[in-house]
Amino acid sequence: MPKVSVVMPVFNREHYVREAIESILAQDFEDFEFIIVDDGSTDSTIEVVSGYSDPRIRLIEMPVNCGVSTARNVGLRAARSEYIAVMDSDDAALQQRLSKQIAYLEAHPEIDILACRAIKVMGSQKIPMNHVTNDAEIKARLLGMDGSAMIHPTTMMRAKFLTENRILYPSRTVDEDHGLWIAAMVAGGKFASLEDHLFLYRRHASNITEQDQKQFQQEKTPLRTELLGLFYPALSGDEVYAIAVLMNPFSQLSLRNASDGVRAAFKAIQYNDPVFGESRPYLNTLIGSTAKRVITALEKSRPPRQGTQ
Amino acid sequence: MGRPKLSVVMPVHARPEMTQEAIASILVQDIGDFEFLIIDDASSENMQDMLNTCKDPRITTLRLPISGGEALARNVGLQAAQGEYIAVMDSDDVALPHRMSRQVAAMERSPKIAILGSWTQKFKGSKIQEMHHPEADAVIKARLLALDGSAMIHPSTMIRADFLKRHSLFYPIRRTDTDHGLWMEAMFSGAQFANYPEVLLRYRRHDGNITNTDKDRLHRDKLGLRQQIVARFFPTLTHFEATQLASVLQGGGTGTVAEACVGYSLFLKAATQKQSIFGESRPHVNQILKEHAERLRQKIAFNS
Repeated sequence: MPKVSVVMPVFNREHYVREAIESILAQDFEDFEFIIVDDGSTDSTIEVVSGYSDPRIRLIEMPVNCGVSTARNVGLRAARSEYIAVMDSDDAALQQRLSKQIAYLEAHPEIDILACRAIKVMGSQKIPMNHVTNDAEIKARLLGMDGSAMIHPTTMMRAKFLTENRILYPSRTVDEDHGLWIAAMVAGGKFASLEDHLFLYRRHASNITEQDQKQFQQEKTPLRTELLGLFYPALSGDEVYAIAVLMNPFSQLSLRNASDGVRAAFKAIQYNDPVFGESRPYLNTLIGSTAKRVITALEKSRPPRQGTQ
Repeated sequence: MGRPKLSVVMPVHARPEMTQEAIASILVQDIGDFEFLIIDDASSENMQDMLNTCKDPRITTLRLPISGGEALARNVGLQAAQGEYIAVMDSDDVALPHRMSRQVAAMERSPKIAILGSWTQKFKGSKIQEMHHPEADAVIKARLLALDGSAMIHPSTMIRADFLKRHSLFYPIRRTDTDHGLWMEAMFSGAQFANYPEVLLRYRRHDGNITNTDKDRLHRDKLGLRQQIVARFFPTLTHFEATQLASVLQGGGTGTVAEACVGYSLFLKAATQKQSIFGESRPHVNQILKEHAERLRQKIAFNS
């Protein structure tokens, strides 16, 4: 059995997939299987992948385009190794990614999901990202749902932890990574990140419309509600939902929504005991600043008071 | 061929003989305008040989490279389906010849219904029993709280595809009750339900149905789903209380008097929610609560 299974779904990425594949084949740690799940590509992706003769590559073809979450799950089911390295088809791993992550996980049996830092690539720009590295900060940042907890394709997971707790990616079209991490946290999982920058994370020239943005934010509300319920078990369902609505920057808040959200937020920040080891100061700051943003907006929209200068 | 009216989606995994009967029951339907998607969840050679003998232009077999389990296979079917309606089918059941025509006509008549089940005939060997599931949306929704198969029979359902697409709904990846998971999400997204009041499916029970195997695990798997619906039906409960109530509904726990007291009090608190949230019948919800509360009340009274 190889030590690590690299799992990479790919869908119509003929232009980028070569770089992703070669970055794995060039790793200084060689004992891996490389599971590439083609999710019904209609361009030349399969020809590109088939062009590599490295015996460590296992190409798995989905019969139709099934979506990234299903493709990742099929990859997880096919994986045979002790560790699973997540990979995306438009990124590139630096040469020591696998070796450094495996060395860390071998030395830290308490960690179940390990990220590393990434360098964001936008055109010719390369910007190092400095993500937090400890369990408490990572867990608290899950609530932001803004990519500040971990960069998903940089993660390596302990396969035994996933199978024992029956953790797979939820069937979502977006944020399937956060869905898996929440399940992992609930199952008692511990997170960490290496400080080393071992990954090139490509961001494409954004052609996401504001309408898409609104839709994405909207779909975060159920996951935020779930997380808030977990982090604040003494708040009611109505209260955690009110905070989740407040956290969506695109929410059209009625005075009632705003008031419910602000009241619930003030109530939430009274609770300072970690439930899953998450950083409470960070949660308080996040929720407090959300309430403050809404209050400031309300103050600005207030008509000027009569009789003052 | 343009977009078919209907996609029949059936995952197959084991038991080629029963699967053959299920396939035959679809091919002899009294309407012909459908595609029949068979999701082969990495089945055995025997099954593949049988599938190869089923030749009909309406059949498309999608073979998964790795067995992904029921929920994943069904999602692949949803993703591939082109029909306006999706008929759920199980490989061990038998559809009556007029199932599809009746349900399609009903969906056309009632554009607000997103998921339509039907009455069924349960059979095991030569034992048969008709099951008349509730027709009314409000009762079906309330029965979802019971999580015991009394709301709808999954393989009898027909789903409006656009509703799922519009709300990005899929079967949740779970080992059990993925059908209830989808229905709950659909209800939270504003779906209306109904059951067609005529037997349209023969629903087979056999020793392979998940029953006593690994009951503990099933128990725990169900708890998460219960917690979700309890939290949404009773939004004034805290997350902690919703988890407790779910656990009492499940009938788990150590059965101490203290636990029964907490449970009884939670039932009383939950029953103060009088307003319907998703169109569910609150009297019916409270009836379900009351039955459990009565069990606890007797326990406390008996012990004290």
